[in-house]
Order: sequence, then structure tokens, then C-alpha cells
Amino acid sequence: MSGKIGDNTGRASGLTKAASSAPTSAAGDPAVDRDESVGTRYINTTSGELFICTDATAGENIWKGQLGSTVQPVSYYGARGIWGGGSR
Amino acid sequence: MAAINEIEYITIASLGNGTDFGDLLSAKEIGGSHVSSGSRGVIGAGYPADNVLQYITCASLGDAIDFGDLNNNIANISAVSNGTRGIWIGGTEADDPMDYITIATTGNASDFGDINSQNLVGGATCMSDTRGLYMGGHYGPAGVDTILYITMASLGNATDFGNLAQGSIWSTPAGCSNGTRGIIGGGYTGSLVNTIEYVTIASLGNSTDFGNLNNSTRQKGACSDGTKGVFGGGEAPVNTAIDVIDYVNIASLGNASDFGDLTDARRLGACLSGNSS
Repeated sequence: MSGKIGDNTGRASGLTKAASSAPTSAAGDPAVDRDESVGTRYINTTSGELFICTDATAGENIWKGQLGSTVQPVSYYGARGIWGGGSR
Repeated sequence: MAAINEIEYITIASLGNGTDFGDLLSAKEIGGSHVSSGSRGVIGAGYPADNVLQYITCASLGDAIDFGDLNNNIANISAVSNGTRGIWIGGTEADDPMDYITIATTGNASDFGDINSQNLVGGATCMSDTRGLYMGGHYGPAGVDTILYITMASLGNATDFGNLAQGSIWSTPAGCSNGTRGIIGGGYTGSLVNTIEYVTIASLGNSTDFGNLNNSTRQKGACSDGTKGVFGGGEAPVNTAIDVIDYVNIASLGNASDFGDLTDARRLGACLSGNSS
């Protein structure tokens, strides 16, 4: 035992640290079409808010921020335009 | 002009013609009296005046189904939505009307707040997640150049946003947005116009020139997929319904391009955006 917690790349010490990857970071909120997996973390470096992907539906991701923000598909527009009624 | 009850749809990402969707409960002119949650579209009132709300499931072709009632029989009303709440603004035959519904839940409308303007009709609408804007319109024969807004999550009154760049535009211009930028196209200023103006919804202020539609027209419907803003139908010249569909890229200023044709020439049709699956 060396007293040092290694990073799993050195000699076996009997103590290990779980491998982890840093969250993606960028200067804005995550986009709804990042299409990453549920649980993926993302940091908005402008606001400092950490987001986690909670729905990975392609093109319609939902990201929940730890400061209360939610990024989700806008629902008042969509792929289909629909006309009804009128006169001619 | 004969009222129609047909519903039709386009796929906004793909230029092309309209396809039959189903029928409204009755044949009538609707204008801007419609909201959408993406999955559900709710269409209400129209002309002649009534209080009937009806809904469609945007991804499923079929006929409209009764939703509930507005608080008053109103004609020429407009509406905005944040996807959850639909709010009806203005219209005739009511005293400072604004009503709202929860789009996911069928039932009757509740009072929202006031616009401090009786009988304001024929304005265009656009919206962000937060704000709903009512642009132009008229009191009787007098057009207005005002842009009003409401905060849709509140139940408060409408507030001044700014003014239209070219002055009063009435007789039902059409509006849509990408959530950030709102655009208003066509209308009537004493003669039919082909102008498109835009606002930045988050920033109070006046509208600015965007470009032109392919026709000088009024009473069109407008919808958006977040990228394209689509304007369809309307009348040009006055009292002649057309089937023309134009589109613009909302993020880029410029003139409209041809999209395709509606199956029916129609003026004052409801026009909403919704999901395809």
C-alpha cells in the first residue's frame, strides 16, 4: 500500500478510482439534437449550469439542468403544417 | 365566398403540395384562432362567431373532435401558445377578451387577463416559449400598428411591445416564429401588401423589414418547423382565394420562395404547426 489512490494505470495497490469522463462543456445550453445517451452530462460554461440528458429521442432530446433549466423540443412548431377551414 | 371544412397538411421540410387530413366539425372561416402543443392542435371560434373549440391529433389524419368552449361567442379572434397553454386574444363581441385552455386537457376555457382593447381583431400572432405577440389588426375600419405581448405562463394583461415598421397592417396578416424571431407577412394597409417584417421576441421594440412574399395578399395562414416559415392561402386580389404556399428561412432575411400549392384555395383558414409522428 502506497497511500496514494491511483488512476488504474499504475501498479495494483488494492485501491482503485472509478474511471470517469469529464462532461462535455460549451458556452450555451445543450441542443435538442445532440442525440447523446440518457445520463450524459453537459456543462454550460456561460451559466455554469450542469445538464443531464433524460430523454435521448433522436432530435428531441430533453436535458434537465441542476439550476432548474430544461432544454426540450419546442412544441408550438413542428414538422407538419396544417390548414383547416376558411373559405373560397 | 363559401366556407369550407376541409383540413389539409404539408411536411414543412419537404417542398410540395398539400394532402388531405380530415374535416372540421363544420365549414367556417377560422383565421388566427388556433393553438398547438405539437401533438394536439386546437382550433376555435372563427367566423361566424361561436365559442366552439375543436381539436386534432397532428400526427394522425382524421376529423376534428369537440374540445370544449370559449367563454364567449367570438369572431375574428387570434391565439398564441407555449405548447402547454393556449391563449385566445382579441376578437369581436367580447369585453377585453383573453381566454386560455390547457391544450392537453379537453374542457372549457378560463379567463386569462385583458388586452385593454375591445373589438381588436385581425392581428397576426407569433410566440416564444415565454411570450405571445399580437401584431397589427384593426378596430372597425381603423388599422393599428401596435404589437402587444403577454407572458403566457402568467394570467396577466397584455403589454406594449413596439410598433410595426410600415405602420398599420390589418385584415389578418399571418405570423409565425422559430421561437426567437417572429415574422409577420401580408395584410392590408389600404391595399394588399407583400411585405414581411420581423421582431426579436425576447427584446421589446419595433419590427424591421425582412423581405417580401411572392404575392400581395392577406388572410393567409402561417406555420413553422423552427427553420422554415411557411405562408399559405389567402386572398389576392381581394375576394379571390388562392392556393399558393410560400416559405422563408426565418433565420435569414430575404424574399419568399415557392413551396407548392394547397389542395384548396382558401382564405382565413386556421394554420398551425404540429408533429408528424
